[in-house]
Amino acid sequence: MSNGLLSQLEMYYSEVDEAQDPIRPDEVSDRMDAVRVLPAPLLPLRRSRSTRKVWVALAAAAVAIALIGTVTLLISARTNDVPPATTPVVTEQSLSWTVVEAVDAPHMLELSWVPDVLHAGSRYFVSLMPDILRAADEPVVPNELWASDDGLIWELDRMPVEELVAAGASRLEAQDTAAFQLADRILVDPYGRWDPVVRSDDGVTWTVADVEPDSAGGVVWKVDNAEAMTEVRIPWIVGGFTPTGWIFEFADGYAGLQVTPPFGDRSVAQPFEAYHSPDGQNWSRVDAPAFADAGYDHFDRRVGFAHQHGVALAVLSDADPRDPLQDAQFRMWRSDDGITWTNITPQQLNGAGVWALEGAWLQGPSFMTGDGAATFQLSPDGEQWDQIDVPVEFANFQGEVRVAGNKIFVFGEDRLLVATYTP
Amino acid sequence: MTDEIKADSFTEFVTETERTLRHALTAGFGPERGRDAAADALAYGWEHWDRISKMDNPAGYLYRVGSDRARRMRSRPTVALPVVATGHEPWVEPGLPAALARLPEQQRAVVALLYGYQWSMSEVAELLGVSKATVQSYSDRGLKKLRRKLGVEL
Repeated sequence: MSNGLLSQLEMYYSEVDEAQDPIRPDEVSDRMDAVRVLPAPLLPLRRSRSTRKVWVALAAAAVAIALIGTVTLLISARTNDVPPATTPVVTEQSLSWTVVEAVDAPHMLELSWVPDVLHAGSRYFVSLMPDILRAADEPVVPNELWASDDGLIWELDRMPVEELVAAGASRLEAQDTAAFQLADRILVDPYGRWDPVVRSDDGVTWTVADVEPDSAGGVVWKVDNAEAMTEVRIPWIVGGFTPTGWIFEFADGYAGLQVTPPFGDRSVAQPFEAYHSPDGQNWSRVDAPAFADAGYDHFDRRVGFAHQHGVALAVLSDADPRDPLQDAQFRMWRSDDGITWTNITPQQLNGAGVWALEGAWLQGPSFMTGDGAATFQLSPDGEQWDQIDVPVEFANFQGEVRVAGNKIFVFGEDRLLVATYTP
Repeated sequence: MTDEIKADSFTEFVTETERTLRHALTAGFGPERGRDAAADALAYGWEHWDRISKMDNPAGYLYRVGSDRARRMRSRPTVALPVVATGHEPWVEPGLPAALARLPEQQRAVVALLYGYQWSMSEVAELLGVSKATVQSYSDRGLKKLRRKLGVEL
């Protein structure tokens, strides 16, 4: 190559810029309708008709196959298509930690992946979604869905690319024993379309779920016409592009937290707005004075949520972009009922290099939080925290951390580690 | 804010910001989708100008809006980064667009803004709403992947 990479980037984007027309003011006004989210009535799920056709065709095919006695052959062929299960490699067995290199996937180096983990029913589901879905106007790779009963042996399923691109799936949700893949934000567009949701009961076979938004705001999604999947993000996204939110389910109802926009809009200076619902459908705002003193001045903000065994944690950390060497300010709230939130900010975590709550793991009264893979903190009560030793594999491991069930999942660029910690 | 003052204020904002917003979203999502998202974001900005005009960083907020729109365009036909035309002197590596397209969104945006559009580290950090340390990290990782993919040295 005759020129350095940086020079090539400059030349390349100079040409891109020359070929691109500026946005004219009249273009902006022409788009006004496009940025509005239309209220009800909502049109049927865009893909439902084709999905039904597929199912009808599949059913007919299945009957025909059964009639001619080739079911065995079909099963055999299907079995051959399923990738082999992984062979776990136990890399560390100590008094406190068991670490398993569950998935060694060097091909993951080719792309960056967005991991997600959940525990539904008796299975663990790990979803690896490519950070980019298209290049040269074609899907690059499908995302990968790994499923396991024990966190040791994993089965891989690669969903059809076209399904995933259509779904724009970027996160997992659990409902009862099923796992659902859905877009990070489901929003009805001006044409009455929305992204599909796919479900699986075993992590291997996925189908498009029969989903309809229950209202114009889309607060409640009905999945397979059965139980409701609540989605607290949606009502506030409409017209607001709120970045994120979360729902916690308690014995007597649900708590919803919405995070206000992060870009210095001081008219909405509180970090969280708290909501409560007795049934997941009817929501009311909760007066949560614990959040009142958490206004913000900085751009760099991360939030974390965790919920297990009837205790919810919300975590907020602020960093000053003008001083990147300064430790982030770390704040934490706790709720045991979804209505009352208490500030339990553990002061010893400020200055301890803790950046965000990656997941909370409650075994009895213990919480666990991590900063990447490098730091884990353990607490008997959520207020007093102590840093604990991490497995040697975690050192300098630039990965993402998720917590599900009783396991910690650490994603590197080319492998997945699953760690079990016994306090 | 009267309609006239609002219109003047927004027009001034667009004049100052359109290029910035378009470049930033082009860096992350490619020329066609990025430009489309920038136009959508500006339209959104106009519709909510009373609120957005009071923000400390309205361009950063609209960048987030535009990013959101661009991500939601996944299911629509998109145009990838343009190929390198032949006959260039000096020569630009033909594999560069494909290598850029395979970077994660934020790494690609940072690399393109820093080295393609010649933004400063502070400008990138402010618009993306991250720290300069984060920008540096994205830059390092993005360039490393590009070099590995293209087999080049700086």
